[in-house]
Amino acid sequence: MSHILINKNIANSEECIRCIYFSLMIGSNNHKLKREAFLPAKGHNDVSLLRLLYTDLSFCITHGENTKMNGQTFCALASITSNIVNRNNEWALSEESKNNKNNNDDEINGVQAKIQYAPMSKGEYVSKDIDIYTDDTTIDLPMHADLVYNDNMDGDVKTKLRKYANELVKRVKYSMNENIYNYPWLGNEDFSNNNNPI
Amino acid sequence: MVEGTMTIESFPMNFIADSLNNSPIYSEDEKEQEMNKAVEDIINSKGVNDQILSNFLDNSNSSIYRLILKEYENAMLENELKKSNYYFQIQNIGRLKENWDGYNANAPLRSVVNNSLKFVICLMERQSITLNEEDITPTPYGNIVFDIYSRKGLISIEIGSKQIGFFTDFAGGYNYSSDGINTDFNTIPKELNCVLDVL
Repeated sequence: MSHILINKNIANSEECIRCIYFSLMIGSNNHKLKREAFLPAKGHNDVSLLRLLYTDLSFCITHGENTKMNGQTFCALASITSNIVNRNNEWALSEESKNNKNNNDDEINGVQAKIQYAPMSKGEYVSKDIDIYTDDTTIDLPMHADLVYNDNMDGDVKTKLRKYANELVKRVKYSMNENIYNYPWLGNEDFSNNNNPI
Repeated sequence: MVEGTMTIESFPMNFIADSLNNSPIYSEDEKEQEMNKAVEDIINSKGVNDQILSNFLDNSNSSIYRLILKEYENAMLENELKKSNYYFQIQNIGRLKENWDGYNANAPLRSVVNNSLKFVICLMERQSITLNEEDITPTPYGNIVFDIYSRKGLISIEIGSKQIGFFTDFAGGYNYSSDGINTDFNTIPKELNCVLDVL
């Protein structure tokens, strides 16, 4: 693997990958990606991603296989960029996110998110102050990033956050095996390789 | 009324007794009379199908019969639920453990699972609603979501431990949402009922 410095700034067009599991993140019949794939756990406001610029699809697939839990089967990769997140942020601040855009009393959605540099090792975040290279064998996931929400995650139910993710997932592209019951999964040409130097 | 045939042997007699015992409007004597009459009517009808049961309950002016009918319907719906794919999907979700997605997801609380089972019975009572079991989904923070699709669009309903939240994604026109309604999950909150009527 090349000796490349991981850029702490994530470009707007840089693809980040989310590993997707069957059947709780994707419909078994309609193969539709579910918004829940991009929602954080309780007490968190972040969703894990892998920066494709500093890894490759094979690694993402292996990572997906290794992290499958509780009978869930790794089945797909989803790709998101800051451009996509920014467009969704614009929607969330616009009249379009109201229930009735012609009603001045209706609230806009208001949720915002961004993709952040967040390398990890052994389940812990690595300090952002140090420089990390792609071939650093002491760090498990130098290519790790987070989709971070501004939402405070209060409340028993989280309608605004779910509505934001519902809109976001419409903009996300994903790739899956034609028959998700057959394993192993292979990527397809949906994923651009023009930003993958490795 | 749910479909199906019930014999006298399988009729939930205990519901009659429970209904009577829970009713404050009857004296002990009146309860006994009502109980005897209900049992006699049912025994006389031999095999009881839904239509017969419904007829004699509807023709009675006695409020106790309505209580019995409601209990009977609830029992039948619970039986139907236990045979349904919804039940298996919700129970499967209830068996998820912490970190079920490998990304620190929370296991659903028992209260959320029980609330979801109650809520799906309410949905089953509304026969116009079409719900696919694959559209019942856990959230990474421990709640359960029901996505109902129709030609009009989507209603996404979230079940928490005390509240229901929902939003719609209708193509064109107005949308609806609620950030959280306190409920016991035995009935559908009126705000959500109005939206379900739109489908």
